[in-house]
Amino acid sequence: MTALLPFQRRAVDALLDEDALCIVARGLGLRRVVAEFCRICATPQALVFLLNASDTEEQALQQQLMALRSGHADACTLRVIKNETNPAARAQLYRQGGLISVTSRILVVDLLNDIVPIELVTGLIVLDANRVTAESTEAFILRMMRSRNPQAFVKAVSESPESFTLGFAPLEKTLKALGLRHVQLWPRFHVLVQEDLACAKAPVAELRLPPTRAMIELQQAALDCVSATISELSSATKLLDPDAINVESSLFRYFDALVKRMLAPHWHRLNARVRGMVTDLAALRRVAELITAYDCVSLLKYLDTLLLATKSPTQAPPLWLASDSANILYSVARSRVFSRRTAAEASGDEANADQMRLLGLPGSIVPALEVPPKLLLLAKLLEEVGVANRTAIRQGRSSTSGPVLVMTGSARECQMIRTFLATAHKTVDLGPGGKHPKMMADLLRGFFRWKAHMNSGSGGTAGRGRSNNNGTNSGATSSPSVAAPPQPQSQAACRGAPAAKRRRVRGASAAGAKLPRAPADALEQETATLAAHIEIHADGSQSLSHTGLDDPHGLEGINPDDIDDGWLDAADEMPEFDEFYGILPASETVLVRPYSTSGDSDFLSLLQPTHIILYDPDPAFIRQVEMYQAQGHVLSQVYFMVYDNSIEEQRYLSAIRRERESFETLIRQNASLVIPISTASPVNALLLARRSQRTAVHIPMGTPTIVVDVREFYSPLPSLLHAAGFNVVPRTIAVGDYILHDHLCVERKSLPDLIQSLRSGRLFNQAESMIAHYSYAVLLIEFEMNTSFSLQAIGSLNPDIAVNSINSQLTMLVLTFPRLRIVWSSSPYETASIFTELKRDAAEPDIDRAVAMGQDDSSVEKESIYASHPIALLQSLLGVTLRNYQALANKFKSISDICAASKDDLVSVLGMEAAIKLYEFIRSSIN
Amino acid sequence: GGGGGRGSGQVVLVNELQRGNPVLECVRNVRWSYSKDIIPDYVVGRTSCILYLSVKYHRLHPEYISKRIDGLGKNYRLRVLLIHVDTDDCKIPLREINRIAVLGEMTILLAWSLDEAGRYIETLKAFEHRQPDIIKERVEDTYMARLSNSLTSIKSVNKTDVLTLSSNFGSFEGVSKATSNELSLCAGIGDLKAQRIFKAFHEPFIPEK
Repeated sequence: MTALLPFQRRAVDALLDEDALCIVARGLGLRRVVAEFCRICATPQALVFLLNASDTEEQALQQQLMALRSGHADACTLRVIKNETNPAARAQLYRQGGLISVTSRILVVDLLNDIVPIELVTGLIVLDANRVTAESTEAFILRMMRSRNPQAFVKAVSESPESFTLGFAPLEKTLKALGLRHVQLWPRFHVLVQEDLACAKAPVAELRLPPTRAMIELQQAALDCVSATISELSSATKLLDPDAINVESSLFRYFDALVKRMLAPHWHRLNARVRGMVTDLAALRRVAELITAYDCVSLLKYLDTLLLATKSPTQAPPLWLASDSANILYSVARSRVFSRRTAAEASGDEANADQMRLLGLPGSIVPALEVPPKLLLLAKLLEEVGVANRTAIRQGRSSTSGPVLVMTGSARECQMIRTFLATAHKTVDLGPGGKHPKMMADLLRGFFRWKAHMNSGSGGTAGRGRSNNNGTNSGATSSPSVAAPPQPQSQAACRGAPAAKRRRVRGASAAGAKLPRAPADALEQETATLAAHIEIHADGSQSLSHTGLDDPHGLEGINPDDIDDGWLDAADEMPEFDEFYGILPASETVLVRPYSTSGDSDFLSLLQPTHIILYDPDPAFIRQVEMYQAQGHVLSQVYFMVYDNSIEEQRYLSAIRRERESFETLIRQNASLVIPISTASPVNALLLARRSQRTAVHIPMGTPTIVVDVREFYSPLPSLLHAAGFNVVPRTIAVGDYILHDHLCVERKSLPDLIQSLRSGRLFNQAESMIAHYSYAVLLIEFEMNTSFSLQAIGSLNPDIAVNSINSQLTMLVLTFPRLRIVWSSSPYETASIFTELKRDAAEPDIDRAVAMGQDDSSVEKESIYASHPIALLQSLLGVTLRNYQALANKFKSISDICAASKDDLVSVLGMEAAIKLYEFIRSSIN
Repeated sequence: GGGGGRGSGQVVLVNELQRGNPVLECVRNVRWSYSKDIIPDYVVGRTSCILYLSVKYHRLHPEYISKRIDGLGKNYRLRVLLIHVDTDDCKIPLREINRIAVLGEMTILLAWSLDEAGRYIETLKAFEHRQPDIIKERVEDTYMARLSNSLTSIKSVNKTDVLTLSSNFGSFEGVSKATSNELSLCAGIGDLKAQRIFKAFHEPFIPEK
């Protein structure tokens, strides 16, 4: 466990001093600060709750606390309460005290059910405080805590200063929701931080690589597509703020949220084209990111997938795909992978073509295979460091020659680097294209195999009847079908067929039957045609290799160099790179890690690197490196790789600038912050209304009670009902979501839920069971706050009655269930008022009756015992219905268990017809 | 009052009181005619009727709708209260209307334009004898549509990802066997998304106690 730096100590002290919201810049070790705070205040005599902690966070904290307690048997540990912890066990844990990490939904339910000894709670620590809003469950918990145990402390922390500068007065709103009055800010430019981190400065070599010409063109083309889409979107909606929505901001992940926020009030009224543009922007941002992060083959594969995914018979293709920029994007992306030989060039060179086919590539291409410049530089760098290390050790300076740590943006890049380094010495001769690194050649082969495979399925456009269950999944195991040398006759067939095939395609397009929409489309089709060589090749050898597939020893005769299907699959066969080199001395070790695993403050001190290479720029990790040095560790050299004048660089610089500006804004706001005691948040308005109601009108003895299904605590409504003066009783109920009285039950549907459940048939079943059990069955259609209160885009009604429109489906529901009442609410706040109206003068509900309702009825869903995510996936499978999914969920453990189940097993649960449907759906492949 | 029986033809019967209501111009896909002897505003089926109300009118005459509901009697199984939301300031009137409708056994449909209101009138008539298939559980037709429907039920998985997954792992079964690491190696699938997909396939349906 690393010691706290002086500024971290100050941050802990400041949190101990006062209840506050503490915002720390990323990379400055907030987790370490929280761990220290926990150690001090969460003794077994205390009861402290930790909210909003993710799984990783919990594990990291557990480890840190374990390290901190060393020697003190009674020091605190972190206990974790999850969905699977039953109420009795939870009550036990609460009574034992200590530090407990719990999901907000469980804590709020337990508070309402009086399972938590609220008067004994010492305090709450709220992580990710930027997620807390007036309507969120955390705010609900804090409100209850303050009213019943005002002594409990509240500490909130966040690593996202940017979140507090989006929208209207977000800092003030968050503070109100948290019930806090103080803010503590720890930017990187804080004087104390500066002092602490100034002491150690390892030499940082900034390696600015020029991107390749193709990369520059790709970036420009991608940005042009983005900018065209943004201006199209702006003119179509007139709802976007041009200051915030521009090409620069579009490079960031928060951009999607920003656009959605601006469009949210009108979202469900926007037409499909506009919504499509929002999705397109997200996809283009991804493309822009991947130009430098991916190798050339993977980028092309991604671009082709993008294109194939848009080939839908019902939807128009994205606008940007038809632009000139898209054309450049696709043609450049392809040209750095391969080019096609003209017929004249190819005809004189049959030998080369044959060689290519033997390698599993189309005969008529010239591979270009641009190697990412960073990879080449990295290999060279590692070589140099290795030489330097060996020299240093010979000279007796072993302290400065430890392992080399390479940090990357994703696990995928790690894999690419490992594979490249492990095979750097191997090259493959690709005929006219010359020699290429083995990894690139493998990638290309994998690409064409994938292409051939997709070919037969025509890219997912519906209705290819040919069911193909013969196991042509592109896993490494099936590659021998390509690698096995083809029989002479199939080789001959191979030469003849493609020409015919190409002619057919040309003929078709001439007839206008399948005219490519855009040049990009044409390129993709051409590639697919080229890959047809491979398909025939693979089909021809399929029967031969089939036995080989079943028998793993059948592969022995084949040179393993030939069966790798790109590093994607090679990764499985290769021993872990680290393990491979694990037995070597530290000075020879190269560790490759993604930034996502570096969140732990111990990360660097455990690995003890002396050289660090940042393969991708990352501001937070740079600070971690500074902290590592400030803790007294010696670094020989830090390398920082970035493509000069690239999107990557721009994203890095913008991220730093955005964070700094956010902190500056927060510092200014903090200076002038006035948080009145009685705040004017909408929730408090409800509370005030309730108080005045109490004094003016006489409310019958006891507060009005509503029984609420526990699953509803994901939504803000229970919190608002509580604020509006209801006694909210959380229970697991089978029929309805809210029981207002013994005869009235309410099923709440937000707009997306309504649309989805009308379509899936779920609402039909729910309405049926509500009507069977209650004389007043109410469907509550609840619009979200800040969205327009309207179902339909004005003027977008079809001239004819469309069967699948929401109006038609709603009408059908009304006709089918004349006794179903519909209540419309413009927001959860409004719902609280409507419930007050509906409950006026009614007797209180019998809680046990509400729980028992529908329990004996087997047709009623009792899904609450199930985990929601895997159940949603289960219900979406072919052959699975609302009637039979429970049987499956009870019999099998998980989706993967069902996938592995035999046909007989499925038949025993589902019956023949449904079982076969499911069994075949699971196993059928795209073509 | 004789609603029952009269509305069973192909025609929407319209109360004379509705003469001049601009919504009638929006009823184009079904035929309608005035009728002197119906109590509701519209009769759209043998046992279904509509009362029409605009929010503005309700604010001026809050007692009107209760009287109309009381007058309906027990002749209709489905009693729709069709509300034209013709003002932004509709919160408080709607609160009242919601309560009146629940207690008065009316089913509210909200329309934000005359066209939408007219569409509800048309659809109630046009669907009179239709089976409720469109809101019952249905099966998607094509394999890709079905697969897409399945995999996109996992948060943040989009159609492009579906194609990526199916083309890299061959089948749903293939995806189920992939490790989180293998998933993250697919083009366009980030580490976080890979973890989400892996979890959906491997998380137990019933959390362990």
